[in-house]
Amino acid sequence: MIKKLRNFILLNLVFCVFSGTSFAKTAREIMEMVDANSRERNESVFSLLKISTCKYGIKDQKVKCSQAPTIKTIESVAINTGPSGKDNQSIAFILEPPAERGVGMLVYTYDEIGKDNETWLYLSALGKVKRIVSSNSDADAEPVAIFGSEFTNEDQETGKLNDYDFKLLKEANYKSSRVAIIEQTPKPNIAIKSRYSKSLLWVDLDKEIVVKAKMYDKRGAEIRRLLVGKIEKLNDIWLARSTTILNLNAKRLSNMMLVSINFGMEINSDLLSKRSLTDKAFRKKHLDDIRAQTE
Amino acid sequence: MTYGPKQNKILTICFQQFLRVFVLTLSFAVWAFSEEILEDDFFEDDIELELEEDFDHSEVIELEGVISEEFQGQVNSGESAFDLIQSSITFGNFNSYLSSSSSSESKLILSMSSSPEIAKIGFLDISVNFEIDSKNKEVSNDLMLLNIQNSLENLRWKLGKYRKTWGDVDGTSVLDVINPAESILSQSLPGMELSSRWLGETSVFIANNTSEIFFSFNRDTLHAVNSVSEDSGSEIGFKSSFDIERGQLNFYLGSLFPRVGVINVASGLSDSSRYNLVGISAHKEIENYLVKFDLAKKINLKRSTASGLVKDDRTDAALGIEYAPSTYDQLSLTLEGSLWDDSAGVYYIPGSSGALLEETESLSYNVAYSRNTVDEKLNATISVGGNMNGSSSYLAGESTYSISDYTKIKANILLLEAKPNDPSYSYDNSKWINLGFTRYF
Repeated sequence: MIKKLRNFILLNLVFCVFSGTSFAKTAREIMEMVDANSRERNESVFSLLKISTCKYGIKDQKVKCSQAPTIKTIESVAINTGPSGKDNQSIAFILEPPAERGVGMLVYTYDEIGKDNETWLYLSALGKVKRIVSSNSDADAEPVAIFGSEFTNEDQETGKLNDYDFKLLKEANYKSSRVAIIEQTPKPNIAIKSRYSKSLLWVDLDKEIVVKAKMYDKRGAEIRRLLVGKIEKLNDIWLARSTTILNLNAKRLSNMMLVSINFGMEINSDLLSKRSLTDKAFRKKHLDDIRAQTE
Repeated sequence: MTYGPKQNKILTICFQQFLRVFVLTLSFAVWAFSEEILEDDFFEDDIELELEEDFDHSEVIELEGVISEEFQGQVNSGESAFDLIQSSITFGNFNSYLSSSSSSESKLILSMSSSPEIAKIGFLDISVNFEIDSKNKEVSNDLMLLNIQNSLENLRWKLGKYRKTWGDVDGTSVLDVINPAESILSQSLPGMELSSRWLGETSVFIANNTSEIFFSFNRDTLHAVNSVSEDSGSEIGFKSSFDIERGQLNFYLGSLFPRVGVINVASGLSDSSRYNLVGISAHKEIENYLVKFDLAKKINLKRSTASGLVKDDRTDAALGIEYAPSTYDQLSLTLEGSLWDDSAGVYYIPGSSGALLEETESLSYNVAYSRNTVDEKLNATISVGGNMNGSSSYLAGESTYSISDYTKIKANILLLEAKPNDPSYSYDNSKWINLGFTRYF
């Protein structure tokens, strides 16, 4: 009997090992993989984004914009910096719409807890670079919306895994992929800043990216949902070309479409400076250097 | 050409009808464009609804799918959208209700701008406004920008007509003394291009320091009455900026002319004489506050005594604090003061009914609150301000609403009250209300 029981346990262990290596991974380890993949996506990247935002309605089981979407086309360059590569510097310029064409924004984000991000905006009417006072470090402050869309800095943040607890709820199949469904709960110091009491993340275990997320408010009601699509492998990195976030309360959605992206560019850090906001020739020279690498 | 009352009425009706047709045409274009985006581009692959089956959250309807769009391949080809000609058309209605009179004027302003790259020479910025108003019905044009810039290694140069801003505290004239003075009566709408002047400058970028020197060939002084000054006379200024922890520190030197002429109360003529400036400004982010200050010593400014103009020095200072309680709200407080060196003499400034005694020191304030809606469609600012001695006060507001990415409605209002001992007493109990509609192409 004991021998039978031992064989049964051994058989089950072997089955577990071979049927899903992910089970060997904890929720934290899975999120570390996702985070590492995310950092690779942000390392020396030159991209062209299109952010579309609209009020939506549901008709015939389809989500439709109920008004003309606001569409912004943004050219962006980003590099990881800092001692462990966990800080980020990015510069972005709005190409469209015409009323905002030429608006440039320089952002330095810091991984260090308590160190606020820095943002500069070029005001073309005044010919002046203005530092934007940060507002997101107060406990009751709202997150920063990205170019007026539903995407916020809180939704875009990478790293800072130590700020959250992770719990693996289950594994499941989602859109013909094996996913881990992970509950992400902010630790008390972050919980007071966050709008979310928890998030449920669908993590594609092969591609190591979040393919779906549901965010819940402090009362436990789902308030936002993130959906991704057009998942492609570029330069051995899996990424979603299309990311949609739905604000379920405001019935407003934003879609971020990655029109083009180039990884591993040689980017001169001088480009990520205030000079680039005002000096067109300087900016063009550095951007041309990057563009030449994409050809 | 002049028109009688009847013709004026007909013209007004025609103008209003034109505006209606114009607005309807634009609205139709916006609607048609929206439909195109909605159906063809934005939701090419529709989002399908499906219910959760394998997870215990079935109480929430699942919105699933992918918004798709045709990829444009390598769009980052180097061809810039900045190379195109940009244009906008603004219809504005400007109304002033002064204590003695009131007026209303409508303007149609076509603005065209472009920023082409001229091979090996640099980047050209050009912007021209063509304007027709309801009063004289003549087309006028105004060159707003015409400059070329280029850079080589750590050097950058810029030459032409453009706007140059000094100082950190927005909206004060302690250090922002280069561009032509904007009159309170200037009929402008939010976001309209500000006046500029002919300048040249060179900048040097070294590590965390940027130094620049600018020059102008002509003084650009606004004279309220006849002037005794010639228009010639070059200006030169130097600014050096250093990045500091979460802020910036700037030093200034200048040999300049005032933007507004000093009136000699004895002769009644306006004068614009050279003065020298030494200044310092800084801004620093402390917690969620952005603290800014400007300080300048202006040497050899002119003042008017009962018998003529004399030279005196003045210290100007401004302090600004910005606070953003949330992403969408901003509060700002600005204090601006001046102190003349000679506090013993008797000096005069022109008032609405004769000369007024000029105060040795002055202090003014402005408190403003701005709010952006989450979708950035509506931006509104309201501010109150005036002299700390109570001689004048104002309430101002401005707002911009984006109907679409291409269409904006703009409005601003100013209410002013002034006492007899204030130079702006002639505008006591006056208000200005401006409305505008801009379509970008």
